[in-house]
Amino acid sequence: MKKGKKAMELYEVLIHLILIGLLFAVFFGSSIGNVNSRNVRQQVLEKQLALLIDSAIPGTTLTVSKVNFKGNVDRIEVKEGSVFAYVEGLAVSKGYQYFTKYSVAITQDQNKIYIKIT
Amino acid sequence: MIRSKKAALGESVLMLYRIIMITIIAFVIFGISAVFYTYYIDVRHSEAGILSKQVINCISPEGILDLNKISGYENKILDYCKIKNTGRFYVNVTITGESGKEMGVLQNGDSGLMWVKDLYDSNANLNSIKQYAPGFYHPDEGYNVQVIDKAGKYNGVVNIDVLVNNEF
Repeated sequence: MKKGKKAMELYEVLIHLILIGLLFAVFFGSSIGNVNSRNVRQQVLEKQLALLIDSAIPGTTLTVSKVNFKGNVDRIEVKEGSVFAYVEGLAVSKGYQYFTKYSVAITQDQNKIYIKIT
Repeated sequence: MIRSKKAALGESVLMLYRIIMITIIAFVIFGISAVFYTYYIDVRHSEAGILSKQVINCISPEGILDLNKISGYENKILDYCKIKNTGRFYVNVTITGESGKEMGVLQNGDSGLMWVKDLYDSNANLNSIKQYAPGFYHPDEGYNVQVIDKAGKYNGVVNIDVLVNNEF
């Protein structure tokens, strides 16, 4: 009887610890994204690209290496007048608007992403 | 049996309370790290400079400003220039003749942004909302152009003000 009671208590403590561990794992995992400053690097890349697209003349091609010493660029997209950059595994991007009247198209190969203004 | 059922219910309530408290603590930790490590990069002054160059090149290609062609677009000059996503911008172009007399004004956007800019330029303590200050560009000197309108052809000077609002 006593052994059964102790086992139950141990079981409850273990459940509590596992739940607490899971919760903190989720939130620390979210915090790591901020501490790594991936969001800042994403913001820098998006705004740099938007400014370059705005000031480019037709026929210009901007080249972005996928592997940089400051981090990897997973992909770049242009949608509805905004440029979105995804770096270091970040799945979400706010994007930044550009205002050029010219068309913007994106192509890529294994190592580089090309942004063509026509 | 009834006693142990009540005890089990009490234990569940306590566990729920503990989980809620831990969730609140985890949110606080996450919130502090999100606020502490967030950084806003302001490129609106650069955007304003680029936009002013695009507008000047659009309305006066090769230095000739034909007001007859722009007729009807005096209040939507960015539409004339086919500039996209103009919601954040205010553009004011003033054309003056050789005598210094104002010959025309071309605009686009909400002129109220200039009041917001003046507020930030004053010495008011607005550091906590600095990221909402509009970007601004005004060249030190105007651009010399040849103006063509109904009166004929003459030399003029174009001055431009460009304001870029925040993207929030």
